[in-house]
Amino acid sequence: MEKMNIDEMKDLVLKYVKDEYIDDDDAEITYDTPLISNGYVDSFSMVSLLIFLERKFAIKIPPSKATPQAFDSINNIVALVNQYI
Amino acid sequence: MLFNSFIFLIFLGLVLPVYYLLKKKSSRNIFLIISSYFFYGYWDWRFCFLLLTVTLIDFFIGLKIYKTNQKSTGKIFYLTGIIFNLLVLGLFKYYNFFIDNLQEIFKSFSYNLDFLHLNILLPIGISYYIFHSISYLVDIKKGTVNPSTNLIDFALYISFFPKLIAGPIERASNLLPQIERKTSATKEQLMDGTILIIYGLFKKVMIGDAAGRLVDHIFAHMEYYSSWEVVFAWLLFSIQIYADFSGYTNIARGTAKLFGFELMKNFEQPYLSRSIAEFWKKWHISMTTWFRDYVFLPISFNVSGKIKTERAFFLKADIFVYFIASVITWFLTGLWHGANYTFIVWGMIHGFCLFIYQWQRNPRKKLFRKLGLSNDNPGIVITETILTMVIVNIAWLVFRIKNIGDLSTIFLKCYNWTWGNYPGRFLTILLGFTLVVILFDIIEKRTNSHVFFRRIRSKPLMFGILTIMMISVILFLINSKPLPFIYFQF
Repeated sequence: MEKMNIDEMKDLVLKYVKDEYIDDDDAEITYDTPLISNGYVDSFSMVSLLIFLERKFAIKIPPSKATPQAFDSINNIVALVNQYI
Repeated sequence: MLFNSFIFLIFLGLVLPVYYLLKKKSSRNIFLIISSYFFYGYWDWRFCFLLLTVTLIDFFIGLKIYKTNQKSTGKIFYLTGIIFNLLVLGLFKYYNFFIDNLQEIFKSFSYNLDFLHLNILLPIGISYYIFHSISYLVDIKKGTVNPSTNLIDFALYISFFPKLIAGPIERASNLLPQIERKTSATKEQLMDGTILIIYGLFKKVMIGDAAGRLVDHIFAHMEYYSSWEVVFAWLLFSIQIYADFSGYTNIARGTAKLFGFELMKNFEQPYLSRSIAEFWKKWHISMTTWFRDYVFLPISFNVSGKIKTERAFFLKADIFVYFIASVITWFLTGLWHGANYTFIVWGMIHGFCLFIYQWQRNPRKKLFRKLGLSNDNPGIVITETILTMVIVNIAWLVFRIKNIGDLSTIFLKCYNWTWGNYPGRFLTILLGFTLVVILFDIIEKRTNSHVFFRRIRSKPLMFGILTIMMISVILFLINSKPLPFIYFQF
């Protein structure tokens, strides 16, 4: 796994979320945008994102920690990943 | 006690002033518990004991889980609590269904299992309060909620009458803190609550019940009706169930607001969805998020941990995991609605369509980019919205029929197509109901509010409209017997 700083991680996750889950190319997503409550990330996206994060960063996130709240913004997702790197 | 009855209006008219006459938080909560048990017992007082038993056991188990969470005994208390709740639900809701199926198997060996049948009445709202209890215990185990140390507060969390019978399924993290402080309605809440109750009653009585009488009659006597009239009843059912359940939720949320409590939204204009995934973000939200958090995600994360390859069974790993978790989740979602194969098939239709939706999502996105199509192209939006409604309506037919065999009757009826004597009249009725419901949804969406009546600038006009709505509801209730809410049976 390549070494990344927090900002690089945020950009990577943001790009992945935009490319994979957001149908509207013009949607403005920031690091703080609520992803679940705004409907950008659904239950499938959470599963898919978890698999992506675990493989990309070679980590194991316990199912109990992968809550909707933990996936509700890019900042939250990166904070979750950082706990297990 | 039905929300759409005079006895409920009298009940609310008595409970509300007494609640505000009481000054202490504990007295108010005790009074609300007594009122809630009266509300519940009005239907059948014997099931108050079941509600009380579930409350007492879950309260003590919740405390035990919290105190022993770090030890192995914590897991034992947790499992005991979950099993207890599932057993209660299983016994009262699924026992005879299970025996019926077992009997079918044993029939071929000439065994009769009739003696195993129990004369059990389904306690109204059991699926709802058991789900409240299960989420409470799971959240304590996960550490996202602290258990209530006050039995009165917890008993009110389980029994609070506006949401007791058919939700919304409130998480302890939302409702318990409101119960734990002294709660009084603000002027805004009193206004919004009253509007929500009138709006909900109008939807339920004037749309849901009016449509329901036609739907029930045609489905009960299909042999006397033409193919078009049966299709009319089928399509009208989707209007009925939406008006019925969203109307109920408005009344529930409005009633809670009058006491100063905020319950979650359960509907967000689901019939304006352009995909089945979007529909499930907007229909019965408290149930879908419950299944997402306590069934779908735990299964998904456990299965995903076991798959180390990029693909599994010819599918991308994430799609494969989604498929497995969806099948289980939607089987259970269907079963939750009732002990009948129709509900299981209904759930599986939705699960399958959701899987197809997720599977085509990325190829669709790539195709749109290649063709230079905008996702907001009005033609595509309208086509996808109609396609979603077609799927939802096909599933509603399976939901509405009494047994799977009725499907063949309906197919045969449609195969030998007949219009009947008044095709235009039935079409007008269907379009009329649909237009009213869609109009309400469009206004809700545009104003981003369920109490959009408040946006009317002229206050006399606003009060005038609400008064006319309430008078029509009262007149309708005087002249006809109220129909129970469809979701009360679940």
